[in-house]
Amino acid sequence: MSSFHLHALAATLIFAIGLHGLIAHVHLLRKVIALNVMSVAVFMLLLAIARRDALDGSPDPVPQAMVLTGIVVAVSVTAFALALAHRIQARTGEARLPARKRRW
Amino acid sequence: MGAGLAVLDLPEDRRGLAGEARAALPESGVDHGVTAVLLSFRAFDTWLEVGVLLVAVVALLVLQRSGDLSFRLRPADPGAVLLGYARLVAPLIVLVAAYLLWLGTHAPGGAFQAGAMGAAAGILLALTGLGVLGRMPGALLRALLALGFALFTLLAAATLAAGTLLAYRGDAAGALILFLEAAVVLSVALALAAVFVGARPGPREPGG
Repeated sequence: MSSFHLHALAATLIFAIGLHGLIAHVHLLRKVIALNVMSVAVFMLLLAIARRDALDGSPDPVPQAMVLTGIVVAVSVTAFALALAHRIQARTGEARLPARKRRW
Repeated sequence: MGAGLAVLDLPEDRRGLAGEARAALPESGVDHGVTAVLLSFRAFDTWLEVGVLLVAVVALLVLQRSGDLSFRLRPADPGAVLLGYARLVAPLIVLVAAYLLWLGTHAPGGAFQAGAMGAAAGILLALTGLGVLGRMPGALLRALLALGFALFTLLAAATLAAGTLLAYRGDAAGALILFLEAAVVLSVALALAAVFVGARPGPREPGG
């Protein structure tokens, strides 16, 4: 298994962890963190691809630029999500989604 | 698991677009591959990215039902050491930001990196009570926030009218990119600092 495959599989695993966290946690702040974990996994995959497609030793610049753009978008989304969570807390008194009783 | 199988199944084509990017580099006006992709070949993505950041700040203002950041005005009580440090370091941070912006033409750097550093200076000033973000009139704040995106949009409209969207080439392109990046740095720094300042608990709220 090459270094690329290792990084790519790790990225997939991290993405899965983030996705699980997004769905499973009821606290809004943890959901925001889970979202960030998912985006980090995507960046990791993109950078692994950049390294794999390296030309004469320097990594492919196109996925690197995509990651830079992605980081800015992730920051913007996190800021907005935090503002929303703040607002929800101001309105409802707590930063959690209402927990549902398990049916299984 | 499906995604795991998908990445294992990725085609073995190892070229990517590195070859094309390297070949087109002299036309882009800058000397660094990533900067060229960000601000020349894929300037469309960067344009919309600046727009996304602006939308986030506007959304924050809308959620707070405020036209400026005065809702976050609160007295700060920094010690003398922190005040002195902030006064000393903030201009240095701005200097480093300007350097990063220029550096982007031939090494890792550029508009967003410089904007993040500028935001760090703004946040430092806001945390020590020296900043003007809370006292800036709303119209000026919004004008500066929109400046980067507006300039970029103007450029997009101009290049679209002249032929291809956001297609500029040659040495003039280098100067144009730098000018555009400067406006973006200002807007990005202001946006990031505004988002930080605006999201802290206010003086009347728990945690403030």
